[in-house]
Amino acid sequence: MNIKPLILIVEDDKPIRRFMKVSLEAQGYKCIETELGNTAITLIFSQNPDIIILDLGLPDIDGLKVIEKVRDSTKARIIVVSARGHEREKVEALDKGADDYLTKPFSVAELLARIRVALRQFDGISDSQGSMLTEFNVKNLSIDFKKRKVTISDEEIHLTPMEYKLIELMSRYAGRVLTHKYIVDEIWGSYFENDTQSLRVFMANIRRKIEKDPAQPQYIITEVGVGYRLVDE
Amino acid sequence: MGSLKKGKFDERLSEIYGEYKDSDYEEIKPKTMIIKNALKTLLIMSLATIISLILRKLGLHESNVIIAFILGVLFVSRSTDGYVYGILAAIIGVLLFNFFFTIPYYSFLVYRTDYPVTFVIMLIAAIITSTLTSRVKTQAKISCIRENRMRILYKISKSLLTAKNKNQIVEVCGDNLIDMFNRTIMVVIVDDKNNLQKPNVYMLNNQYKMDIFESEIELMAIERCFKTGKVVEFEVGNSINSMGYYHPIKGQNIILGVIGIACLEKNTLLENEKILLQSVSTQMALAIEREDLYEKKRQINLETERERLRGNILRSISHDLRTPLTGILGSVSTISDNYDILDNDTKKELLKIIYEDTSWIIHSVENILSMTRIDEGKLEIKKDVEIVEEIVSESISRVTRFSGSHNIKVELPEKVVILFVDGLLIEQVFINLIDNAIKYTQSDSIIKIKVTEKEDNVIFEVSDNGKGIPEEDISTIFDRFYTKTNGESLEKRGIGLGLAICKSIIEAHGGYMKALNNSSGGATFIFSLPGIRSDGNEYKAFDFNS
Repeated sequence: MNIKPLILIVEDDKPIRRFMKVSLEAQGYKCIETELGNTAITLIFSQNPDIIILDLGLPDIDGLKVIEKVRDSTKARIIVVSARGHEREKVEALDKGADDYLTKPFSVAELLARIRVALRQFDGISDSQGSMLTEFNVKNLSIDFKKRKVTISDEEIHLTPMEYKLIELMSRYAGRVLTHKYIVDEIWGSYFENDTQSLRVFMANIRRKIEKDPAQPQYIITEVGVGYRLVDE
Repeated sequence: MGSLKKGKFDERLSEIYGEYKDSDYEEIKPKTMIIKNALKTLLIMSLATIISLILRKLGLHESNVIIAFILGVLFVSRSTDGYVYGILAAIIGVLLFNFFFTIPYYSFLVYRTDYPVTFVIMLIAAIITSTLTSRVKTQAKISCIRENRMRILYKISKSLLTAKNKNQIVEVCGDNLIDMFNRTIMVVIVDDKNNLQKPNVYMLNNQYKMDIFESEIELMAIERCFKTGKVVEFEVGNSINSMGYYHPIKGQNIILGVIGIACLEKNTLLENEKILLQSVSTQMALAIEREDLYEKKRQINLETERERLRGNILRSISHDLRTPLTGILGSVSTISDNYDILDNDTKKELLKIIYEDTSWIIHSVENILSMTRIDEGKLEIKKDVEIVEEIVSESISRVTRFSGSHNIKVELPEKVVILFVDGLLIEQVFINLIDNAIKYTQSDSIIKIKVTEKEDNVIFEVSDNGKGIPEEDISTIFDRFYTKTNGESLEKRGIGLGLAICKSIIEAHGGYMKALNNSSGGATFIFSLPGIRSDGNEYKAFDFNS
């Protein structure tokens, strides 16, 4: 792809805005920036950015409002930025249609990783819409969707049907954080909405099967208070 | 309007009187009293006559007869109420003496001329005896009542001394006032904002309906007594004709409350009862003011303690932040001033210092944020279902973001361990413990995290193979603002709050925490948390200062 992806940075703190812009431009992305939510909405409609990095605490309007206003009319990936301890806010943003989040303070490496994930998914949607993937590979983990087979370093892992369903769901959205609610809704339907305990136990069991050290996982990352993320790189 | 109210009031008055009449609490009617006393008088005087007749039969002198009659009068005035019967007995005595014992016997005639003198003297002696006796009797009665009241007053002041709060004060006074006045009592005191609280009514034998003090008129009277600080009682021609007698509880500067006493059937209080009520109200005022002062003192102590804590935290925080900030500032100015002179390696090194220092500041801020919750004096924990390894892995990933080449090894049980805890806080505990282990050991040390299940508890161990904790420090290590001051790691800085926070968090979850030196010479921190079964409380606030 020759056209540089366009990234919109919505952040009220100048130093953070500045370092994000510099580091992103150093990676070859094109950036526009604003500190106001209302300006951001205008920019999203006029410039049609590929990725929006959105701070939730803005001086004029709530970041969540911005998501609500633009979600239906843009395909842009929205990455929410919020402080640690504001897990509820993150979950709300994700449920409203944000695609990912970053917890302040974050490093440049984390920022770039999230941008890469977002861009991959953006391409995925525009390029291979409809053509389902037949295989998923990351590090030593590979999933064969046709044979419903999960292997680690070519060694087959035996998962229960429910565990397979979970890892399949996560691999389809690899790199993205999936909220507890989203996963429960997708797998069990909405009956278990407030009960994430069974989900957590399933995840713990999957981890025991695919991770070498469940306390320092390589594949399934826990996003405390938010959900889970299957790594994709 | 006024007349209507008055009519209603009368209606209500008679209603209450009706109730009053139906009750058992009715005094003995005067008629029966008269009959009883008269019978007593007659009986005693007849006895005196019989004794006198016996005396005469025995041939004793008639002066003994006179004495016997005066004795009879004495007995009459002792055993009857008031001195009317005494005087009556005296006259009867004289007449009987005349009738039975003067010649001619059995007639009211007298032959001897000195008898009238005898009669007069006898009468005077008998009357004086009877009046004196009955006066002594009333005196005894009054002093008995007084003594009783003094005893109650003493009892009130004694129990007020031991009263622990305002409610107890009100309780004590209400109970004792009932004993003292034998009437229904109402006590109301002010709250913190100087508004009257709900009245406390103490009923005498539960005989009246509760709402004596709840009618509009009474409430108005209470309000007026409270506002003016003056006694409000039933008075003819008064705009408020209350059925109660209301006495204010006067404090040093303000009115602290009102005591009300039900005065039904225009049965108003006696003057000395009012004086008594006043002394009770004064005692109550003293007790309430003492309670207020105590509360104020407690508040001030709490405030001072909080202020001191805040000061300590600020000092410790500013020191902790200043050091890395100085490093950052120095490195940045070095780079920007000598950008062209410095070679790339030096610049990279300086930038690395900036990165590390900044990471350190971020870590400190996390602890400070936990502290701001403590600042309120209370820390609220939001418990949720958590999986142990998720907490452990999250903590490790947070710490290792900044740490060097330490080896972190984790040992987890085979079974999935579920906890019901505040995930963020437990994570903070792990972060602080792992971070401490990193801070106080060599860079190639091994840090081991071990989780085991023991009965209903889950035991966590964080150990390192460093130099351990000095023996003399083990007991104080969880104190606020403890930092390792001796030893080689002096250059590493730390907010001495970390371990204190950890301990508070664990204890708030119903666990315990301890520190010891392990067999490899390094330090081990052990803490326990209750397993999922043993706790159903979702939210729990706890006092961090305790």
